[in-house]
Amino acid sequence: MTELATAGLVTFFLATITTLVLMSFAPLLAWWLARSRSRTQPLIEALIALPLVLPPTVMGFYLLLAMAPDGLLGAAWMQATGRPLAFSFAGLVVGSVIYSLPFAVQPLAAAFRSMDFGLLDAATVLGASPRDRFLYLVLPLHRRAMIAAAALCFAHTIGEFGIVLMIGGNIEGETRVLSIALFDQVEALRYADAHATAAVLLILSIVLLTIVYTAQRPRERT
Amino acid sequence: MLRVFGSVTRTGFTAEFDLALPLEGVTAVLGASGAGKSTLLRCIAGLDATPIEVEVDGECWQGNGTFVPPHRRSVSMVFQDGRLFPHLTVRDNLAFPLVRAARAGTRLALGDVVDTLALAPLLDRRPATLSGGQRQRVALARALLAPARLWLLDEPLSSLDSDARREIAPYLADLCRARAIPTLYVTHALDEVHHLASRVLVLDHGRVIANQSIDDAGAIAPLDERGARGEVLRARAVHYLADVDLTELAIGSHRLYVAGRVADGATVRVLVAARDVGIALADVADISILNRLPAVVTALTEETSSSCLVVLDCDGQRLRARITQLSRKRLGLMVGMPVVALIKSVALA
Repeated sequence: MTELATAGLVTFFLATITTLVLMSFAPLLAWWLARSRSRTQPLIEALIALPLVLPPTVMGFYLLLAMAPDGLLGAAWMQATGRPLAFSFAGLVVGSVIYSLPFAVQPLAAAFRSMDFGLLDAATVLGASPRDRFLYLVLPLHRRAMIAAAALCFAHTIGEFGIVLMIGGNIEGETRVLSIALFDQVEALRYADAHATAAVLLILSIVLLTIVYTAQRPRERT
Repeated sequence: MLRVFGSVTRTGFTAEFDLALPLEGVTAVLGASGAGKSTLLRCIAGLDATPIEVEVDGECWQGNGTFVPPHRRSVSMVFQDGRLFPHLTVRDNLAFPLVRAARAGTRLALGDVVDTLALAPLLDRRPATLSGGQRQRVALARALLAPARLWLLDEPLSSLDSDARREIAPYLADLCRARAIPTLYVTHALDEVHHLASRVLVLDHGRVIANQSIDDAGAIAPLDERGARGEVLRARAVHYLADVDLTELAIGSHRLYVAGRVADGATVRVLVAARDVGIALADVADISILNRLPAVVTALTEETSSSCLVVLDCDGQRLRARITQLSRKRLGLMVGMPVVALIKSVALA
């Protein structure tokens, strides 16, 4: 397999698994943020938004410490699997989930906040429990926002660089994603390869963002 | 018996309820906007967490540390704006309560309600493609399909134009009668509910100011803000004039005519709005108005700088007339004066 294909596959698996993990809990978290009047809500929302403002290297540094064999995450992982978490694919997934979290939660929370809450009351008096309302009203009503959030997570994970460099290193077939491969190619002055890698990333990003904005377009009235 | 007791304060608004209602028939809930009508309904349904106590047939729904979650309360509610689920077809909207009721062990059938409300042609459509009247009809049907001991209607017709209202009103009336589920019907328009309700609850600034059987009609008079301020007269049908399709009614020794047929001897309630009553000092024979009742002025109240309300006594029954201040001056109206009430239109209640 070529270097580009290997890095492409690693990137693809990383983005897919990260997106699946995120979409399994981000909607619930976003719903809580949109509905909660708890005093801790702004703090939680700030923590989720952190990756947007912190340099990826800062996030990466703390994650690296946590993932070290004597770190909190690293020790637990070592105990469970017998392998170190830092510089592994699993470690990358953990880092990506944290790093892409705001990209899943924020658009969903925004969509949830603008929802017609009157519909929830209507569902309630028709006998729907809170869980029922979330599963059968909130989620289906926001199908497009979910698609947009998932595509954004996927795209953002593909575009990740700093954090991967810090916690993943550059192991071919394990942690070398496209953005890292591109960096290597440029460092080694292999511009022809770099062109190919850059083009793949560019086109992929355009396609994904087009999906995001198509999904977010106001729905036509039928 | 429905009991609601306690108070709740929201920004700039305090509701203080102390209410006991028999759970039977239709109770009209009246009052100006902001009087607390919706607050009362939402509180009974459990949609807002409030410290108010709610008890239905001796069963505590909230208060004293209990709070039955709203989705487990046996109430059904129809909202002013329908609130159909936009992502579901009409059929799936109707199935929504059915599925949940079935999980709780109650089986209800769709067919009945679909027939009653003539929804068959709409089943596969989405709410966005329905007219306002159709949407509200579906909303009614959906509420009917939820098992309920109490029906809460929150201005179910007020978002509709008059055509749509005419389309739905008869269905609503039939349902209220046929289902015999105790109903609280919130409305601004007295005439909308008058022929249905057996009881009236009047709210003002978050308090119940009247809670009584509708025959005791004085209670209804001060409430309506849209000029339908009126009175209810009790009359007995004397006979039907087939050639002109009018029924002659007796109020004491006086006669009143209403359109349509009423069985002889039946006692009816007649709604007379204050804006439809004029006053003359003596009977005017050559006039198109048929209903002219001798009465005595018992009170005069200034409403605005241009209009005033005249309370009349007609053989022991009360009537109100809204006239201009100028007319009052020209006629020299005073309490105790005998006059003739000219009634432009009456409606059977």
